Amino acid sequence: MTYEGLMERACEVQRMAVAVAQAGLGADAARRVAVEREFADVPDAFRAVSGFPDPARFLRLAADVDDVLRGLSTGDGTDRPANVELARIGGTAAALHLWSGSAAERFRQNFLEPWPAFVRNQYAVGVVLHRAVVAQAEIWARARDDAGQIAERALQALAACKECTRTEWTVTFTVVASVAAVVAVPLTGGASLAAGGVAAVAQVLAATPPGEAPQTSFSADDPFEVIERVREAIRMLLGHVRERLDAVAAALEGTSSTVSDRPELFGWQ
Amino acid sequence: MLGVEIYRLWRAGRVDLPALAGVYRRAADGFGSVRHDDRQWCALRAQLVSVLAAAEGQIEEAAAAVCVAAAEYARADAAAGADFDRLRAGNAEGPR
Repeated sequence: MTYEGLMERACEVQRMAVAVAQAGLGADAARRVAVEREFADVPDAFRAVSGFPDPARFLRLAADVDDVLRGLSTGDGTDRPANVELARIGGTAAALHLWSGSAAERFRQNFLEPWPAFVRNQYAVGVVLHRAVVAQAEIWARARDDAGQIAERALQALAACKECTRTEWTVTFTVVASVAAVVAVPLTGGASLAAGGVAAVAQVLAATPPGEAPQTSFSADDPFEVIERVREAIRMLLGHVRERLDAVAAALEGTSSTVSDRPELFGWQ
Repeated sequence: MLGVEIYRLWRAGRVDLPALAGVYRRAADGFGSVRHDDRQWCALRAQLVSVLAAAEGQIEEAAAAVCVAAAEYARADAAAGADFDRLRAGNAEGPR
């Protein structure tokens, strides 16, 4: 099933729930109508998870950011090859030793000497921007898969209800285990930006082990219970997505605070 | 100061520093042109663009000052050369 077909699946879930629930009702029109009314909201429940953005859009943004980031890479502790134009700064600094006077001293002290730390810290901020869009792409890709999984499991559970046995099923919320994670640039501690070392960049670049994807078990005796569990699973999925997006937002905000609080670490006097 | 040293200084101000400023300009423009609708992402991106633009400004300012300094050193050297020529002409007979 493609994500684009999710709403068709939702309507199928609704139709099947109605059909299974009406199976034993015979010609009792009032109860048949009541059953239809009971499941009328199923498409709307799925609609809440049918508008997740296309992950490809975020991957395109990530590719654009990656291109820009390459320009800021010194190759020193970074995960991209060095920009040779940056590598030439050593020769430039040597030629500037003849330049004297207060402007020369200011430039040397405030820019040239701390420049290796500045450029690493600037790069680290760029990495956070890159990681954030990669993480967002993965969150939406997994959230879309999880929404499809809820619909598929619901159809299987409803099919099992026809056999009048209690049915059990699990939904694995893969969005919780997004591999791509993003951490704020560290301002304090051994690998902090303040130390100006490559360790801070390494910390931002370090792959974070994925969390465990929780497998949530559901069980139901009849289509009414199945659909109630479906509504619950959709609420859980929305909660997990919110949680993951909040984690990305927190890393972005944390890095923003670092830049605001300590602009001198980035050469932003 | 040797002519080659003044040339190196001039070249740093005229070629190398502007090239470095160009790296920062392209990075600032590049980040600035990425379109995203995430509020926190855009806020951090705006800060980074400001950081990079400030660096570009500092480098361009230094580049201009270096070019002026190189020109002054060359003029001073030319004046020193003229003085040397004049002094040497006044002692044309050399040591006795």
